[in-house]
Amino acid sequence: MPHPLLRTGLATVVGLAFSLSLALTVGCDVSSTGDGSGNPTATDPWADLWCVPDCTGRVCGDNGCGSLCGTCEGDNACTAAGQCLSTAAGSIRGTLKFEAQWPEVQGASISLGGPQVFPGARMLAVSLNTAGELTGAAQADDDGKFVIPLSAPATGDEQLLFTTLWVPSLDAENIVFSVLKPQDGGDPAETVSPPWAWLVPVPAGGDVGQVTITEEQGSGAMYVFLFTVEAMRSVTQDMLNGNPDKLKSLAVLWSPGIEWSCGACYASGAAQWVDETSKVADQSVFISGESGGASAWGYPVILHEFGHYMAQNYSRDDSPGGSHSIGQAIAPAFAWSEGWAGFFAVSTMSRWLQSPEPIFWDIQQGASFWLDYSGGAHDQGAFVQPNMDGGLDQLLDECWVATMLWHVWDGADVPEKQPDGVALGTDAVMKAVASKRFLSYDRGAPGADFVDFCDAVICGQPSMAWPLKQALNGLLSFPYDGGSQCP
Amino acid sequence: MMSKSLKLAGWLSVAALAGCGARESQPVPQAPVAQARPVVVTSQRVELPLHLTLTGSAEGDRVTLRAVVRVSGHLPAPVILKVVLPEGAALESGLPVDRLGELAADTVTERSFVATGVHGPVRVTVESASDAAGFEAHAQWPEAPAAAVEVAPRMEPIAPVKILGIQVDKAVPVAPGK
Ligand SMILES: [Zn+2]
Repeated sequence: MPHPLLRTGLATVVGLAFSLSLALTVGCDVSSTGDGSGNPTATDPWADLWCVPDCTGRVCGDNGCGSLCGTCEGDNACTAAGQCLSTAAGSIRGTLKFEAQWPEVQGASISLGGPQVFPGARMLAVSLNTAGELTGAAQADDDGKFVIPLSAPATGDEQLLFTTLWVPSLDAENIVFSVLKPQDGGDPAETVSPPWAWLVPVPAGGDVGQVTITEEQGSGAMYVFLFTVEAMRSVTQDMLNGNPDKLKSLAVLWSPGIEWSCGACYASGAAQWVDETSKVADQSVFISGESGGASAWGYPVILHEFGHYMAQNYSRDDSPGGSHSIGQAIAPAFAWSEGWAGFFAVSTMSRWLQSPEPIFWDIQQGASFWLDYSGGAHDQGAFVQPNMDGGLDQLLDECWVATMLWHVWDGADVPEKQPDGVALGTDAVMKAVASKRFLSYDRGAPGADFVDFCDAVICGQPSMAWPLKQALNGLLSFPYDGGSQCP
Repeated sequence: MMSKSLKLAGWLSVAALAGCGARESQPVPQAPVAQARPVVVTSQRVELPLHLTLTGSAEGDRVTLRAVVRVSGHLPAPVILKVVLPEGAALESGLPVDRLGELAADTVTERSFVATGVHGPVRVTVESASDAAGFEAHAQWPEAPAAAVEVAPRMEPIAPVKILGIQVDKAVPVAPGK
């Protein structure tokens, strides 16, 4: 099952691919994604590839994979810790929803389709008494419903709090992820910024009904939060053997009207603080809240920046940084860093949707673009293609690196539309970028690049040497030699 | 794993039943932060290869516009420029749909227009799309008012509470549902 956050949007995203193919049917080799019917492609066999259910110590509630560890009977309700507690004495209950926007495509341009209401699935609801003390907590279910058992009936003095603070388990030492509300933008910086929080008064009796966080109330922060928490869970499974203790702390800084000079960026050395003495993160992602831009709704950009975080902490990134443009050939280590982040964004989204979604898009002030990374050498003119006579260290377009990664990856976690003899899947790709070969050796141009990635794949799976060379030389016009230098 | 989960289950049950105020574990005191210390950013948002600037001047309802199209990278397809006039306006010179053709990287192309009967904003778009990528840039003359800038919601002070070890002392007020 796709994550509940994505369920409402699923039709829209598949619809996006569908409208893309419609918009471009005129005289083109249509590269549609999904099944083109506007219906989600059913691909349940892949569901367990990226998610390990965990019900240790839990008798009810979310198992981390979209289903339940169990349900509570009678007047019992499930707490955030997965325990059934009686609500006979009292409870606070309701449904959390929030507004979010999905993209719409018209030919060359892409725009936001206006607010839609989504369930606040998996958000933690915390109840406070009149003294501001915590009295209980429960996680919202896939529909956004929550029930917090109380030791006495709600008197009308209680309050309900939702925040953008996340720990992988409730006994974790420190906050691992947070979305913070910066006061000023400009150059990315270490700041003192509060976490986003929403406070709802609870009527006597405890039924708060449907609480909808609107765009004006900062629902974008909740959207960024739920998306990134999901990415944290994926990385925990893919790179850390399911052990969240190794996650490096990260904060995303976003607020409507606050713009960063980098547009959107990741800074590995930028710590964030919620007050003068409390640090919540060692690393940061900055997302501009510009009006007329994708802002919080630009999930490909958010996942792209998360891809940089992932490479920096759990793989290797030798990018020199600096400005870069679509359709520009840049140094291979730079192109790898950006191409990896782009590939990470679309492959992660595709796994969540269980359907190929190779579209990267962004809306910036006065402009927008979309890119289909599943295009091959037959899609003339989209990106700068490598030169088969150009050598292993030639300059590369980051979009082409993402395209090559997409083609060698697809066919395992999601079906591929164009069989190319290579379907590495997420497991092999992640193993390669975390392997000793990738982390410690260097071939081709200086720094970790696409050549080192291919070598790392072959060191892990020697039988891939020939099919990988064939696919890259043929479909993708990259002169990979099939050679490798293994530890 | 078992002991860990039980520990967390235990904590929450206690919190839920006994109404404990704060978590036991406090954040480790850290050296105070240097406010807004700039940091080294290794990644920047990717730049679009297609840019548009629109300038203009008016004499009554007669408007002279100049569109400057700058290309900074490889484009997937020929560029098309479109002018959308407000109702009642007409082009005296210049094309409403102008096929600018294949534009190479690091080139600048200019087009001028004169429109009459202009009582509202003129919108100009440039686009380049293939089956693998689409780029679009747009501009309006006169520029849209700055009132469109988004305003962040105000977080009101609340009684401080520790959530997951972090003090939360302000929040956006939200009304309960019906
Ligand atoms: Zn990047």
